[in-house]
Amino acid sequence: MFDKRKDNTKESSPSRQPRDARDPARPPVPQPARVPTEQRAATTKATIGATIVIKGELSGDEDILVAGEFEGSIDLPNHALTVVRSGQVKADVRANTVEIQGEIQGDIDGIDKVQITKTGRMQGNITSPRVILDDGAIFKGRIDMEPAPPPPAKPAPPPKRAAASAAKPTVPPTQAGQPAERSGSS
Amino acid sequence: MPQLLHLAFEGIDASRSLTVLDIGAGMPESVRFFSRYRCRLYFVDLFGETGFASDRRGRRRPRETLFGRFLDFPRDTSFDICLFWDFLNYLTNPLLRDFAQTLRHYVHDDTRAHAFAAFSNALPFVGLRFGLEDTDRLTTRPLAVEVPHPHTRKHIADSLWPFSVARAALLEQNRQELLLEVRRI
Repeated sequence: MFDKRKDNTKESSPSRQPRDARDPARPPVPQPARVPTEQRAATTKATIGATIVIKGELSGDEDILVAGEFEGSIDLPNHALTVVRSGQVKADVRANTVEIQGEIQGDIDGIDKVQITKTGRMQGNITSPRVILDDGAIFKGRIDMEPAPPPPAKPAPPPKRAAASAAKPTVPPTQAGQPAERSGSS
Repeated sequence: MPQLLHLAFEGIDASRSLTVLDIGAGMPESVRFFSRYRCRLYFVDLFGETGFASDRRGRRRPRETLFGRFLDFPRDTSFDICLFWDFLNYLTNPLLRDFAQTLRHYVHDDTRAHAFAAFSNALPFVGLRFGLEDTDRLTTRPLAVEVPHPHTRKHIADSLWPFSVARAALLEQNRQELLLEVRRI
């Protein structure tokens, strides 16, 4: 017991080696459980709690999770906004990614992605290169989808090639190339 | 299932953004499908507006303003593709005309529309919700109710000016698939 306490005090030093090295047979002193990285990230998300009501302008440089009510505008161009099931947002939103499990009324500019999950409800307009609706999601409004940005630049620009119309029969690629059917018929 | 839907997408200029009207709820597969395009996608779920012809107190909305309320798009909106699905079969004759009249402000000479009609309005026609998986593949979710005003191809052709029926295909379960084009004047 005493030893243990001593050991603990010693342990405040950066190195953990002494205890294990000194008495390897002793059962290890319980240490705080390691939190997986993802979970840690989730717990460090700034959260508007379920009983919180905010009106105003929200901007920041970290991910935000809304479980309460928010009215105004949200600007998180480099980060994610998650509106959980209990969350209600009446705002125009700009964020890198937006995940809607609760409710949003307003226009969303999703720089990377907007996803409405099966419990999500959204009324307004979405502008984003990637919009995902899960089955059961309720959406009313307009979606503007720009194609995903072109793949990473080719290292050495080769001489001009004919646009590869990788033949998907009826669906155009999102980039400049045209589908076989279209190019054939237009 | 669809035989004509792919024609609605034929000849579309992929270099410019596509503007699409989907008269229905936003379906996951439709959004996924259109994410392959540069596009502006309008979902107007008139099916979901329960008794959309009446206001909240149950009073009938005046016919002339009915669609103006729900189909009130920005002035410069011009649809390349309209997906009506079963919706036309929920409309009475006068409303069918009003619907087309309202939309005429938002179509151009090359607009194409896709719709379902009844082969016979004497036979049952059960409503479905559709999701667009691909131009030759739709997903369906049953509504389990018969549509109130099944229209035949001829009836739609007569009532839906400025749209005209360019092609029709007979499907199972009393359905006809229609490819509609805008009549050039």
